[in-house]
Amino acid sequence: VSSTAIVMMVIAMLILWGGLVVAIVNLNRSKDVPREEELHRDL
Amino acid sequence: VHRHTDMTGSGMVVGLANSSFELLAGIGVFAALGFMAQANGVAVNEVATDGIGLAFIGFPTIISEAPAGALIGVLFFGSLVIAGLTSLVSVIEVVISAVRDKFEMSRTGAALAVTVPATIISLLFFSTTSGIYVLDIVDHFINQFGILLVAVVSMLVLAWGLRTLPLLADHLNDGGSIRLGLWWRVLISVVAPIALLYVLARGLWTDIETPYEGYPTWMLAVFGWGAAVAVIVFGFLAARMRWRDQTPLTDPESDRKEVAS
Repeated sequence: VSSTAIVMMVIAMLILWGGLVVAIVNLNRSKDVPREEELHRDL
Repeated sequence: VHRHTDMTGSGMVVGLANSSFELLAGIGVFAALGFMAQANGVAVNEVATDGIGLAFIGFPTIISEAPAGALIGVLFFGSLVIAGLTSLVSVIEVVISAVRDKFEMSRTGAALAVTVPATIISLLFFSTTSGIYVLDIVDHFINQFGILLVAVVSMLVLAWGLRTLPLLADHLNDGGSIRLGLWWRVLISVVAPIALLYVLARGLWTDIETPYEGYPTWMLAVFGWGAAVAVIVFGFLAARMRWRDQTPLTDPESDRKEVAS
């Protein structure tokens, strides 16, 4: 069993999964609605 | 997407969600492959294959060993079908959107102009008995020298050729919840291109040294190198075509600033 590998795995998990949670919370907070004049030509 | 969408916040979620699930999948895959290697008394690299081999040989073997294997098998291949469809949409949408912008076509027109030829080519090449090999080769070379190369070239052109990174950062910061500053410009202009160029050079070297998966040279030349070169040539030809007169080519934000000042 390599302890370096386990430490690296835990760091990766913290950064990626923790980062995902932080990013989702951040995106939820900055939720915005399109202004009328900005409606894309697709719509 | 409207003009002031929080692109940086969304991008962060997309990137981290992708990496998060890949880490989870990686743990699952290697645990299963390790188990298979242990059970058969062979090294892990002998059971581990990438892409197609993993999905259609590795996983079925693992799943058939699991309890309720039939159910898990249905769920696994059902997920794989959905993954394929969503990837298809996300990939082909880029092409459709580009065609639409260039030729000022309607959404339906552009979608048909892209999907009909793509369907015909796919049916011709991928539905035969040798289709799986052609698919494997095209997939490898397009990923390696198409998508990667486009990413590097566009970053280098934007950062060092046109020098539009500050302008792009302004666009993204307008409505973005994560501020793009110097760190982002360094990342796009130096760090990412160097990392990708390294991967690209190594891949190129490996593919020149050893024929990919031991396929015959003519197959690699036609479907591998041929496809990779054809994509580049097509890109240059498409770029040379004239824009339609009604297509606005100026930056809408800078127009607005000019009007305001």
